[in-house]
Amino acid sequence: MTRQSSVRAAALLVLWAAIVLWHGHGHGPATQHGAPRLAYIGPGAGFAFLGSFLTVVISVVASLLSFLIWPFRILWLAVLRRGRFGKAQVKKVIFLGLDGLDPKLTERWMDEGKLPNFSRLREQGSYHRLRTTFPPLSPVAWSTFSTGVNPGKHNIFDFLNRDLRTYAPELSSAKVRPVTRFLKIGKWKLPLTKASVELRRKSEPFWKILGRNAIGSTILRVPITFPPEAFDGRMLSAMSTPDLRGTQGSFTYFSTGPDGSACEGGVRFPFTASGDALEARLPGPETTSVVLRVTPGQHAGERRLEIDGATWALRVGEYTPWIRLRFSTGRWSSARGIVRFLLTSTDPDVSLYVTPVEIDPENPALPISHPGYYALYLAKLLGSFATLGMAEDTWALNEGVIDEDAFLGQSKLIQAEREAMFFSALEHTRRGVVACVFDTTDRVQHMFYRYLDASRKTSGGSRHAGVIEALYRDMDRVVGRTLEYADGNTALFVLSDHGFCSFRRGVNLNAWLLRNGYLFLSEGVAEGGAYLAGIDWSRTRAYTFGLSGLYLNLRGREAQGLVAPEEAATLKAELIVRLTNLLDAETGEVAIQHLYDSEAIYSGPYRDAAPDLIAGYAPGYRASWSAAVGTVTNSVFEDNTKCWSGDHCVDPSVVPGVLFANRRVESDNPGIEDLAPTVLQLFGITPPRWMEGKTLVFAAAG
Amino acid sequence: MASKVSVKLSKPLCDRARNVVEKAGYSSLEEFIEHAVERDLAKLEQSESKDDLIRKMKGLGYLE
Repeated sequence: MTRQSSVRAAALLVLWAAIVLWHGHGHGPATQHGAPRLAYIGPGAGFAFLGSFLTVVISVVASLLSFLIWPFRILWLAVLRRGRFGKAQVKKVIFLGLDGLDPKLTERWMDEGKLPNFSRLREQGSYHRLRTTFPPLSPVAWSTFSTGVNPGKHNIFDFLNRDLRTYAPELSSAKVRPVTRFLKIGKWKLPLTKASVELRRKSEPFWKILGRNAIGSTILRVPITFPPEAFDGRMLSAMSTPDLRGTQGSFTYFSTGPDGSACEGGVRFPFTASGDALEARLPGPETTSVVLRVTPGQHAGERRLEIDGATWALRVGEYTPWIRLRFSTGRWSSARGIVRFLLTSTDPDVSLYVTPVEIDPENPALPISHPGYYALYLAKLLGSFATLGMAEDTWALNEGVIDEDAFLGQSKLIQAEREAMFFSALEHTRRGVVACVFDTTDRVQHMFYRYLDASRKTSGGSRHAGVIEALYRDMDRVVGRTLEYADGNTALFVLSDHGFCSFRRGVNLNAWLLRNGYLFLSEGVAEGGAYLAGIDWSRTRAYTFGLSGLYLNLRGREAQGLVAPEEAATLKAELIVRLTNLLDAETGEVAIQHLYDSEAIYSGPYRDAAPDLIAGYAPGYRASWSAAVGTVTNSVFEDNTKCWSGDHCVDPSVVPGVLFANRRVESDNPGIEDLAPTVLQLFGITPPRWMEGKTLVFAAAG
Repeated sequence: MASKVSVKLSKPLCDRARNVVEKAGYSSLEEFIEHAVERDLAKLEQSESKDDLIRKMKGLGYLE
């Protein structure tokens, strides 16, 4: 705070205190009984008037100044941009990110002539397999794409990290801190601190460097951008943006049928009958909820939905539009959310699926865009849209709350929203960067890969057997549309962060560590609980949670660390020898190809937060569902029976991504870290020395 | 997005920090200072409750 503003704040504080004291000594209006009244808690009418007056004066002066300097500002920016663009090799760079697009499938279908636009791009420019990160996970790989550095410098090693004092796993990408201090006045509770949201991804993305050099960017749905950072450009956040309940997406399911089993990814509630209507409460943030009523429709497969003062038609199998809801969080406060409803059946039971309550882009409860009004602008321009980090509801399909057609329908609606944003940005961008990541490719492959896996009973024969091929063809259509915006002054890159393979068997490394004397359960505990519950830390030397990491219980780092730092290298070497080529006796297959020492693959100031060892699973294997949440089971291997049947949490050499460019890339073995320095170089900016990626080498034109 | 505030450091300390920023792999002096503060805060601040942390992860497709 500057000295001038401090003085001004102090003066206002003194004025406010004087007015309050004056009221407090009986100079204010009295009650009917003559006693001083305290119904109004605030700085007083005088301050309110003065405050409003000052606001008006300051606004007028600021507007006037802004108007007066506007021509000079435009001139200055034009000069700056002319200078910058004068050194640039291109006017525009487009990044079309297709999360999880697999090179093996892409190459196969290009060779079969099914992806004509990808093929055209390969012929006119170039195509390479793109080296991915350790581990090949979207939050890790897209953070490397943004910053051009290894995870040791950007701090994202997995979806999860852990609190070293409590061993509690937590989301690695963002931290939402609630209000912690309140002032209680009677029944009122006034917050003394503000809720805060903190981005855990470190280093600096290329769009901030471009912005400092007067080159604007539009960054749409690139993972690990929540909360959005300020820069010269526009951004819509993506992966790790929570829903209004603060989770990563939890659906609600109402039914007149049996209660069913407990939900992992949402909550189930029964309807309450009221005459011929069905009633229920849709939960929102904290303890809030809104009442909904479902009444009979005109036909058998129809119902009417009354919620928040509006009525909507429901038809089996059809999603409603986004419906805006208001959850009252206090006397004067509320939070706005959006949901879609899907009537899944009317006979014999009426069942209603509700998407997670997502942050309303027109009135966001948390920051989801930069500038703050950008989400509102997009919603007003193109209609409301999904804001959740992982919006395609994979858990609802896993748990049978919606069927495959409903999941695909939802994915298509989300894809259409993002396409509208992307092509609108391309339409309005003459110079600078447009980057957009579509993640429908990832979600649909996760849920439908079983139809590509010949060893599974579900493969072939089903009408869903061609879903993934249809998905790739649809992405080919998007590539074709994008090519229309790529003229001679535009560099176009179509890329994915990793590929895909089947996920048939899960490995619980905690179970292996237990059997082999590296991990112990507390006295009397037969099997550990989720999130490392039941572990005897005083005897445990190694443990796992998350999708590929293995941690030593290191003295001086973990709260109850056991392994002395000087013993760590020996223990790691021992585990590498014993776990490399780990055999699954039931199938006779190798489950772990390699175990990597993170000291050898990561460098940078955040390396201490990394797992000590990274498991490179063989295709078909992955950390089991129980191991991912840190449970110690008795069985090392388990079948994966969920619809979530494709994955990429394996050895990075197994699942590279793709890189297409509309110019010939001559670099050998390009990696995802090379894109950030390349875009800087294309705009004539020397990449900073902390960036590790190498600028791609292009063939001379002509 | 979080707003920023200015904090004053003694010039010799700032110069020493600036000299190691690049070698340590940080993108800026600001990132280095923030990391140093965060490391100490992690030891001093109260941990968030395990239930809250678990609730925030609910619905993440990769986790049961």
